[in-house]
Amino acid sequence: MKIKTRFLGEVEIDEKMIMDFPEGIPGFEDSRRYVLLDIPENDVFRILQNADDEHISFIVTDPWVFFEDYDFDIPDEELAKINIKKEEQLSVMNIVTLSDEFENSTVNLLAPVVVNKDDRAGKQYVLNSGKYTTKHPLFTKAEGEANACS
Amino acid sequence: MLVLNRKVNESIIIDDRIEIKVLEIVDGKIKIGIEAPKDVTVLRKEVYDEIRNENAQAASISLDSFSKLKKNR
Repeated sequence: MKIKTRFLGEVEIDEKMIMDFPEGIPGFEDSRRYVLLDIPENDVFRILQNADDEHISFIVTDPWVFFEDYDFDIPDEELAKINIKKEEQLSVMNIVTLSDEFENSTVNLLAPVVVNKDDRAGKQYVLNSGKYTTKHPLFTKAEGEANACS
Repeated sequence: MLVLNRKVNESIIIDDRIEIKVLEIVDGKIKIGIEAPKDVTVLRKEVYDEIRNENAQAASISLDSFSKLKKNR
């Protein structure tokens, strides 16, 4: 099937790739169906695109690419909401807030998006932790500059 | 909004399964105890609002920012 996307125009997707977010995403509670899209020529970031509304689109990343020590606990009851029974089913991504100046972009480590790879269900879970915030800089100043030049 | 008066150590029960109890009132701060099944998400409202705001911001980045992302691989 074809879907309209905010960043990549019209994209052909396999309907089986659509993930269900039974609770939506905070702020977008009524929109449940999402698909993960690769970004051409970029393997660090991906797009979490709503399948029904092209305007709802998030840039996401694997948090451990940027934050090796990132760790958190999720109660089994929360994982049960997306039918996760064992850790291998779990995939984690975090939403990035891109800045007009790329090196000032931030990532939300307080609320990871957790996905059941087998059942294709997901939710954004808000951690009960004082350790993380919604706005962790992706780069330290020097790293950002190095990255922009590469 | 339903408004109820409660004193210290008095509770309310929601839906037969969630108990909210006033534990202590000191200097205008109210300490509340919540007993709920583990599948019920309990969050401070400002934290939830912060997540909503951040999501709204993350979803409204400019196409220009996105095109820079493609170059900064």
